[in-house]
Order: sequence, then C-alpha cells, then structure tokens
Amino acid sequence: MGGTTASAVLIEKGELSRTHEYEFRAGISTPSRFIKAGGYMMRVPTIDVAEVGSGAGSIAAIDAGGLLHVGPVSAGALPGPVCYGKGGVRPTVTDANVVLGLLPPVLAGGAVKLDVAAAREAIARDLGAPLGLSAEDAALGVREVVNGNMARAVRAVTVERGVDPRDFTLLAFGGSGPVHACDLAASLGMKRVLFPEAPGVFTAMGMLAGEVEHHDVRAWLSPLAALDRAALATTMAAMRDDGLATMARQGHDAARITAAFALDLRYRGQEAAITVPLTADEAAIDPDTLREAFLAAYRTMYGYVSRDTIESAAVRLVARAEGQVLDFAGLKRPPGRALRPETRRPVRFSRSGWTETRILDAAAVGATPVAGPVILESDDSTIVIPPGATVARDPTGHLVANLGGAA
Amino acid sequence: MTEPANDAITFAVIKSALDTIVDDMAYAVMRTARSPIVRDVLDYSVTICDRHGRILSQAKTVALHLGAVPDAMDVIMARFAGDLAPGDVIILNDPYHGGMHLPDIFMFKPVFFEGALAGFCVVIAHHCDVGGRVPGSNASDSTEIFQEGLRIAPMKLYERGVVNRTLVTIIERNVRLPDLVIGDLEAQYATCNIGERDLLRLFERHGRVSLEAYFDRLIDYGETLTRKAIAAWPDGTYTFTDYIDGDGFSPDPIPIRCVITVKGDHLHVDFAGSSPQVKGAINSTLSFVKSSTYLTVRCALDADVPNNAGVYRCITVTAPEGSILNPLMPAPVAARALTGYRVVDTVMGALAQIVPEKVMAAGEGGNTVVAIGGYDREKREPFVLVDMINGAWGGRHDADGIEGVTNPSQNMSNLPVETLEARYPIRMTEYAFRDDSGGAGEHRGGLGLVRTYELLAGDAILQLRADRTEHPPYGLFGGRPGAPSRNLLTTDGETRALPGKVTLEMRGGMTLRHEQAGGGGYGDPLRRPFAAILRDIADGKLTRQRAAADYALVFNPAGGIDESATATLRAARRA
Repeated sequence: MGGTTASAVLIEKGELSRTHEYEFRAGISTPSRFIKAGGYMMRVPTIDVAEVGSGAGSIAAIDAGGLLHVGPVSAGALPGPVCYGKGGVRPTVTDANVVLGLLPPVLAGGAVKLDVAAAREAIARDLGAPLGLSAEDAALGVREVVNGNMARAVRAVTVERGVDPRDFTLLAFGGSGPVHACDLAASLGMKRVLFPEAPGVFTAMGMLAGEVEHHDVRAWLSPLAALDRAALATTMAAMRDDGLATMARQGHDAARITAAFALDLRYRGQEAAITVPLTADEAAIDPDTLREAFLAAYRTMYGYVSRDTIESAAVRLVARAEGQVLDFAGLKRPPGRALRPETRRPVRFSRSGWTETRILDAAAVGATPVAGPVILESDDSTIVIPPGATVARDPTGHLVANLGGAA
Repeated sequence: MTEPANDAITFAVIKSALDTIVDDMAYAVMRTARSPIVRDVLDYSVTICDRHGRILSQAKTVALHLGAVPDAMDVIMARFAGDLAPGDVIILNDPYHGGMHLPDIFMFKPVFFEGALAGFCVVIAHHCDVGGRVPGSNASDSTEIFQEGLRIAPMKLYERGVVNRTLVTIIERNVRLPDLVIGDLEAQYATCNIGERDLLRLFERHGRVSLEAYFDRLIDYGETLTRKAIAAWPDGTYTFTDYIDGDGFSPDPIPIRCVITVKGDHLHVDFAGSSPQVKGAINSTLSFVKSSTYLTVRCALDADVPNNAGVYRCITVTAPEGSILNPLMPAPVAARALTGYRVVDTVMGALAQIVPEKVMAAGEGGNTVVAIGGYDREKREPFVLVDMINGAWGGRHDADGIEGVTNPSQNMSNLPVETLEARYPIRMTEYAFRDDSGGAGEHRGGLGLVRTYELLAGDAILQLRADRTEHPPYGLFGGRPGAPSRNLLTTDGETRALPGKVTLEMRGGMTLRHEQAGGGGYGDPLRRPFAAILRDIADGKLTRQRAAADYALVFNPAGGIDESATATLRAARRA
C-alpha cells in the first residue's frame, strides 16, 4: 500500500504469477485470461498485479447519496494529508490513522511532525458531521472502507482465480501496508502476516536488487526442417551486438552481461508458440534438438503431440546484466543505534473504545512473541499489531504476525 | 455422511476455480487451434460437467452451443453408462444423436478421480469442413442430412488413451482440409487434457465428498437465483412471432412463434404454431432451440447468476415434432444457426412484454455466413474461407444498440482482414458501418456492417447464408425496424442482388458485397434528444435526409435543427 494505490500479487510456491499480456485500463484487473475487459492490450511479459485506487493519501469523502468513499482522488505528497500541515484540507486515510492513534504524532524518525488536531477537525467536519458520527468513529469508517477496497485487490488475485487466500501469508509492505495489513488479513481469513525488513522502502530496494534484462524479439517464420542456420546465426549476432550496445549505453559492464537466445516454435496454422532455448553457435543449431525440446514442452503443456509440421515464428534474445545484486540477507542496521524507549499511548482499534497500547521500536522485537495490541515503529514504517495477534522475528530477520483466533 | 458445504469462502473459491478452469480451457483452444474459424473467429465452446453430466461452469464462449450440451450429455450418459474408462475421449456431430449440425464436433473427456468418474470436460468446435457437397459443409440449400457431410455417431476417438486410427482415417478421407480438421480436433483434445488436469487438482485439494457437496450447492444456487427472478415476473402468457425470409427454395415467410408461460417461479416456452420443417437446411434440432431459449432468458437475468445446470431446471421448452424447431430425420440442418437466432429474437420479443428494461430490440438477425471455397493456384492447395459477419444490437431501454459487436448468442470475433487476405486468394475491398441502417428510436438500433469480398483468381464456390431482407429486425415500444439486409454480386461491372440463401460459382474478379441489417430502435423516435441525432449526423452514421424523415425534423440553413419548425411539423403529424 502506497500513497495513491494498493496493489496485490500472488506468489505461489515461490513463483510470481506472470502473464504474457497486460491489459492497461482503469479499475481492477480482470480475472479472465480469455475474455478481456476492453482496455488497451499489450503483448508484453508482465507480472499479474491487481491494483485499486486506495492508498494512504486517498481522500475520504461523502458522495451525494450519503455514501463514504475513499479514493481514487489522492492528496498526493503535496499538499498531502491534513495532518502534514502543508495545505491539505481534505481528510485522507493517513489522517484517519493519526486520529485513531495508529500513527505516531511524528513520522520518519522525527522529520515530519503531524498535526493531530487539524486531522481530527477535518474528519469531524467532512465526514463525522454528515454521517452523524464522532471523528473517531468516522475515522474507523475510513479504515473499513479502505481495507475493503484492498481486500478486493487481494480477492482478484486469489479467490477470483480459484485460490484460497487462507492458504497464504500476507506479505505487507509500502509505507502504509503494515498499518492496515493485520485487519486486511483478518477480513480474508488469512492467519499470518509477514513484514519484511524495512517495509516502507521494500519496493525501492527491490528496484535496486533486480537484475536488468534487455529483450529483443524478431520474426523468424520458417518450417523447422528448413531452418536457414547461417541466416539465423547472422541475425542472432546482430541482435547480440545491438543488445550489448544498448546495455553498455545504460552503463552496464560488458563483462557482466550474458546473452541467451530462444526460438518460438509452433505447429503450422497456430498463432501461439512455445519458446525453446537456442544455442548461439551456428554449427550447433540442430533442428532435431529444437524439435525434441518443443515436443517435450508441448506434451507437458497440452498432453499430446501432433504429427503436423513444426514452424518457427520468432527468435528471441534476453541479455542480462548479472552480478550487481543487492544482498537482502546482508542488510545491517547502523551499529550502535540505540533503541527507542518503550512508550504508551491510547489507540482506537475498534468501536469498543480506546486501548492503552505499548509502542515499541520495531528492532526491539526478537524471537519471543510479543502479544498485541502493540505498535512497532521504525524510520520507514509503522506496524500495527491489533489485540489478539502476536508478533515475532523469524530466523531471516523479518517480522511475522500470527493472527491466531483473531479472525 | 453428507458434508455441509457451508463455508462461504470455500464456496466462493470453488465457484471461481471452476470458472478459471473453463477460462483456461477456452484460452488453450485459442492457442492450439489451426483454422481461422476456431482460432480467430472463436467458433468454439468449453464447459465442464459433474459426474452426472450436469453443467458446472461454462467459459464465455458460444452461448448457442452451450445450452445444447445437456441433451448431448444425456446421449453420452445413456450410450456409455458403465463403459467409460480413464483416457477415453468421445466425439459426436450427428444432429440426430446429440449434435446440432455436422461442422460442430463435440468432444467429451470423462475425468476419473481415485478410479471413479468425477466429471467431464466438454469442448465443441466448428470445423472448417466436414465434407458433403459444398466447401465449409454449411450449405443452406441441401435437402437431406446425407448431403451435408460426414455424420459421426457418438464414438470413442480415444480408448484408454489409445487413439482410434480407424475413426481418424475416416475423418481424414472425408473432409476437404484434413490438416486443419485433425489439427483442430487435437486442439480440442489438448483442451480436454488441461481441463482434466485442473479439475483433478480441485478434487485433490478438497476431496470428493466435500467438493461434490459444493457442486450441488453451486447448481442449487444457480437455480435459486433464477427462480427468484422469475417469481418476480407477472404470471401469464406472452406470445410473439418473428419470421425467416424463406428457406432458399420457397420465398414463403417462415414463422417462428413462441408462447412464454410464467407460472410462479417456472418458465415454460412453447413453439407451437411455428413452421413445419422445411426443405432447405435451416431446420434446427430441439437441443439447439432449447439452447437459444435458455440463453435469451439468461440475458434477462442478473449478471451474477452462474451459468450452470441450475438455471435450466427453471425453464422447460417444447416444440412440435416435425416442425422446423424439432425436425425428423433426414431433414437437413447445416444452416440451423439462422433459425436459432430467430428463436432468440422471438423469445426476446415475448420477454419484452415481461421485463421491458431487460431486453433489446432485434439485432442484425444473427451473423451472415460467407463461405468461399476453391483451389488456390498460387499456393497449390485447396482453401475454404468460412467468414461470419458480426453484428449490430437493437436499441435498449437506456442506451442505443451497440454496433460492430457479436450477437449476444455467440460471443464470437470477426476474422481480421489481414488474416483473411494472408490466407486466402481474396481481397476485402470494403469493411464499413452501413450508414442509415440503425432503426430509429429514442434509443436507435446499431448500424449493420458492410463487407465486400473480391475473389482474386481461379474458380470457387460461394455459399451464402443471410436473412432479414424481407423481414427486417423489429423495433420495440415505438422504435422502427432496422434497415433490411442486401447481398450484391458484381461480375464484369454488372451488379445484381442475390437471395439470402444461395450456392453459386464465383470466378476471379467477381465481388460479393453483403450489407447487413441494422438493429431495431427502442422507444418513440420523437423522444430522441436532438443532441444524439446531431451526434449521429456528425459521426456520419445518419444522413440529414434520413434524420429528417425518421425523426420529423426541420433543419435550418446552417445545418442545425429548427426547433420551432420541427415542433410545428411534429404537431401536424400527431394531429
């Protein structure tokens, strides 16, 4: 959960859910691979993400019919939420969390001081008064709506694809994800929530840690049996030169770049193809090897093979800059940094009232489970552990909340 | 002991899992099929049934096919009860034994879990040719089923995983394009395998007892939602009659008449009073009539009703034996889709009296089929183009008819011009909206399409199946009919009109132009906002002359609407 949107993706048995095409449009992604939703279809390999327009900066408002909406309009970073005191006047999700005591009165290690009174006043005026609720109850309403919106995104990549979310752990990140994750998980019957180290900058670290790939795909229509190996090798050499030159311009060390080729094969008459590895060595290009690789992959996918003619459709290059990878396991907190002292403040988790709640430095939590309610603070995020849940650090250094019977 | 099947999330997960399985199966056909009619036009259907043969979930494929699956499953269950084994695959296309028309080959793969029957994967594909007297095997002017191609009674194509070479050889030797036909049968087989794998995963995950309890609940859920909707409709009988122009032999109009009886939470649809069976090939099996009826009623239900066997429990359909809607052997049926479309229009017309805000005025009347088959001299191989021209919807209570879209009974796609021209010795010289073809109304009908085919060289057989020339798509509640369709053949600069159902020889250089009927309008044209009329004129969909006539308008010299002169004209008309 970020400032303007929340996104969900399914990771099953360690594999990200991927697709060959991506339909760009407003609203949530369709669960169907077959029937599209009338957006702009792009034939690009992509990760299958569902997204809703609800984030920490999303503005909460009452519509003409008296219904409470959160997003998709966002206050952004400027003016930002009312509590930032930078000119924002419309209440946001962050304002609701501040009013409820879920967020501390200072953020980012003290760099941002929050105006709790202004947030309460905006919520009371824009939401509480029209709904006949106190500012605190209106703020709880904002949380329920935004959690409901995020649950839609999670459902889109699980329930709507026939996958039971209760079999999964919710991985919560983004600046605001950990503020909402336990409630969101509970609403879907999920029992475990994992907070990675530094959840607020997790995506940014992912960008740094990811390997860079350069893809080049060129049409190569030919019966497999009549593949012109010399011409193909010439084209592949040109593709490699182009790819290396492009990546060199982007600053990648040529010595670290590996290039892998592949050939798209299909039965004559088909539109879709199966991609099989292709050697870069002209002398080693062997139609029989390619045929066997295609038939094996085809049989695995479709349960039969045909006697029909096999043809190539395209040749692919993936050039990858390897080696310069950020090592998450080696992440270390600054040596000698003192833990923040434990404090307490009243927090409103539900309509049943205020609960005096322990506030801990996130780094203070070890392998011994800490019982909720407790709020864990760090420079980049705030983790909310509601009553009934526990949290502990796992051997790899991540925090894991167990919702137990809280659902 | 019966499991309660009462966990809300598990129910939602299983329902979506079934929908995902058929969705992935539909995607698999698209990826593995060889012929444009299957691969691009998407004339195929996918569903999965439980071990009793009851439909659990349908992919969003051809609705006209899917409602015919229950009758086909009955044939399979009766014929192969106790004679099914893992690895078996059954095919059929015989309209008189579970099929619809010969090009549609049904494939069934029984799925076994822990040694016992668990369900069926079903894939229906329209094959580009199954032999017979005309390329494409779709002729409107055959007079017996025996002219229409290879007739396959329910038979095992695979027995315990071993292919039946005899049957494959018979098929190969009796069709014009064996590579494509066998390739598409293989696509159906691949799809069954994918469905089987995924269905078994579901059984492994939930266990048979629990899963089958949820299957029961899912079907009951479909029934409950349908019954609730029907119970809210006023009891009574509602009658509507629509017409097909003729059967290609006789120009006499062919009536399709339905009487819908709403009684409590049940719907009965009777087609007594429809035409006796006809000489030409537009007779429709009762299974297909049921399918056409189910889907039309389904269109009037809310979007969240699951498309499963529960819906069918609430609707009974009858048609007299020996009628065009329940023909006797050996009546020809190849072009029966046309009759199905008219059944849809007829049932829609009757539903308009029950739920006027849930229906639309008549659309284009179903797709037009243009089949051109011959020998491609350049490629030195035979070719068969089977093109289906999609369509225009009628006006609706709150919106104009959509245009350039599939008939709601089909969910098919157009054949891209690029694909068509790359594969056939044919050039498409025009593909356009047909101006002035949408029926006038408060919400006008959609515009029909125009497609013009030029045969570049050689000789070929043209087979046409078109309608709505004499009986244009009707309007509702004061809306006007759409423009009637036309078929024009041009030879050496001379153009002549063709009847809708015809088979003739084409030579290189000849062109066929089809002008599709437009959708009917919904509501009084005089209630249409001026802004909407002016927008249609600006978009080039409506000429000023036609707008003036249909909507009783007077234009001022600047091109705008002269409102006072228009008011005077309209008052004079009402008087």
